[in-house]
Amino acid sequence: MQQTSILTIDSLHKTYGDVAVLKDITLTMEPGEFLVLVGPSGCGKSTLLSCISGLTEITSGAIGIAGKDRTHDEPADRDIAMVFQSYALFPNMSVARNIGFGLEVRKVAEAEKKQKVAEVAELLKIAQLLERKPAELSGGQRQRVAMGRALVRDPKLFLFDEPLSNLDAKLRVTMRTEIKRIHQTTGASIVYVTHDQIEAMTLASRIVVMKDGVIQQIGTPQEIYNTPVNAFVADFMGAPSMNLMTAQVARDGDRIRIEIPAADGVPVELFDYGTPPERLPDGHGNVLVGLRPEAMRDAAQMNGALNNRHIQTASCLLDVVEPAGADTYAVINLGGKEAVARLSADADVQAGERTEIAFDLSKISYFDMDSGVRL
Amino acid sequence: MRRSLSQTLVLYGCAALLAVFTLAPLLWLVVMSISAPTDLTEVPLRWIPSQVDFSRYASLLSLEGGNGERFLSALRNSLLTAGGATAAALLLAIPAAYAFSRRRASMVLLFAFLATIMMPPITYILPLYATFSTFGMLNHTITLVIVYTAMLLPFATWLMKANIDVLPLEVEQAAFMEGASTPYTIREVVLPLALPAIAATAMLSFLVAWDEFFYALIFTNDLSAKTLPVAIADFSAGRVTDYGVIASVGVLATLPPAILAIAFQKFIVSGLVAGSVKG
Repeated sequence: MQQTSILTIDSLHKTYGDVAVLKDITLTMEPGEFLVLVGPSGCGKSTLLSCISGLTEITSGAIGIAGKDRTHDEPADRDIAMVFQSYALFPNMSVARNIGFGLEVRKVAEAEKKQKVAEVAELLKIAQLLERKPAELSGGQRQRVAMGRALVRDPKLFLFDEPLSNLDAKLRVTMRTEIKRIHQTTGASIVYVTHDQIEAMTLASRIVVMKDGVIQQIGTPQEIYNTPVNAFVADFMGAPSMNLMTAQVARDGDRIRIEIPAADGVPVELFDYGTPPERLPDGHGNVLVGLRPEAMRDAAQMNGALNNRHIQTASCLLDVVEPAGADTYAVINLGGKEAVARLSADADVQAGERTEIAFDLSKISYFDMDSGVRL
Repeated sequence: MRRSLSQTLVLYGCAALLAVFTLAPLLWLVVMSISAPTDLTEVPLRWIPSQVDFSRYASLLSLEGGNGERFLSALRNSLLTAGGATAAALLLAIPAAYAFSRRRASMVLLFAFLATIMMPPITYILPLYATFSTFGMLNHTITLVIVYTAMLLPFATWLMKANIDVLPLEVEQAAFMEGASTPYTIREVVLPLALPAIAATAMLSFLVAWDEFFYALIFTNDLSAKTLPVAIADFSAGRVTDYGVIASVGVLATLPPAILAIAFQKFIVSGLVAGSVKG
């Protein structure tokens, strides 16, 4: 049997006066998916979530939730729950009443309400806090209460609006794991907004990358990471981000010859055997070549793999060396950009010296110089 | 930061001056109320009473004799009028303020409301008098309640709107999300958060109604409806003006609003919003 999509958005537009905030948004989400909307500030991701929730009226288009058209329904009638960035707890009510508020409004019997609140509190490990007021809780505890309020009603769809952005770095990682665990145990369908691409990568079953009110790419974290559709997605996702270097490329039989100019005048010459040459425009031309930092390693560490024809070495001048514990990052001036190479932690390298860098071309991306579109 | 001795002296001197300036009339009122009648008419004035005399308070608070009856019925009327008008004004102002603050009700309407209190009361007296007279409503407490409610409403609405404006919107959105209706959200979520604002609005409204003189003077004419300000004026309008009695009535009339202010103080000071959003 065909499962009904939990969320369908059909050519949604949202304008404020003359400003188009969301342009032609279309997406579908299946039950149990963890969909993360990610993009820089002002890309419209929070507005999109607000439209799904019904707190913002849309200009045109349609929104369906669990097979029903909800385009013009009130938030309360959409069978959804939302976790707000500021938690938005009711300060005058105890934790128990905060969590049970939705059930209280729906006039659920006292005993049943109590039991459900207790179950959710157990799941979120806040059973001992039920009698407290929000003011007496830490940031992480408030976050759990806000999630509890959403979970207790067992709605069709959960909306999370940057739920971790008010927490300190350490707690954020803990709560991220917690949210993932809750998703795994409950199988809930979640739409999650964040500007943090690491959160997006770790949590999502699918990622929606947005920019200027337009969806750039929808895909699994692997798809987004390995085959970004344009230079913006390539640059935005991943930390450090993908190196986008201007290079001369030319078809050379069944391979592609890449020549990346370097600041010291000695260009790096590489041959790509993996990409069919027809993908690139005929003749010589400049394109953006995209390589993740982990595809640029120190040759000394790669001994066995050097037989692989996708992995080629070239001597590069290291501009800056940044040890980061598990890895050492080296900045190399390539193709007019500061490219970052990810070397092993114990690599014996110095800034200002030349080192053999191994380039792994199996996951190379090419983008058009002007439009930034993937070739 | 440490202050030098001279700075401290100047600081305390200024504070003392301010205290004397604001409290001296009140103090003199209390002294007058317990001085013997002869002390008050002496020239030069006797600042310290020759004997302490509480007899006026006793007569004002007993139902025996004219003074007591006049004062106690005026006190009752004032409490009913000011209390009733404050309650009615708040009951209407809160939903109105919510509509202006969160439901984009027209601001023009609010400014039109506010414009009504910018007109001097004298302009309203004639039409109001004619209307109430037609319906036989002169000299009734309920009439004053109606007039005062209309007088308090614009200000109370504006004050409440300003206070609802600054409450976190997301908390209300969360309530709507959970399925709560607007009245339920106002009652269970907005009002508890706005309690300090409500207390402040109630207190200010009560004070305005408590001190109102002009409408009360025109619309009431006997013990059944006269309020304290009118009664105080009556005490001074007799054949012999007893300053001591007027002072005693003044002191007693100050007590209810003062008690109200003390009782509401904790609401006004405490920040109830703490803990709702990130903190």
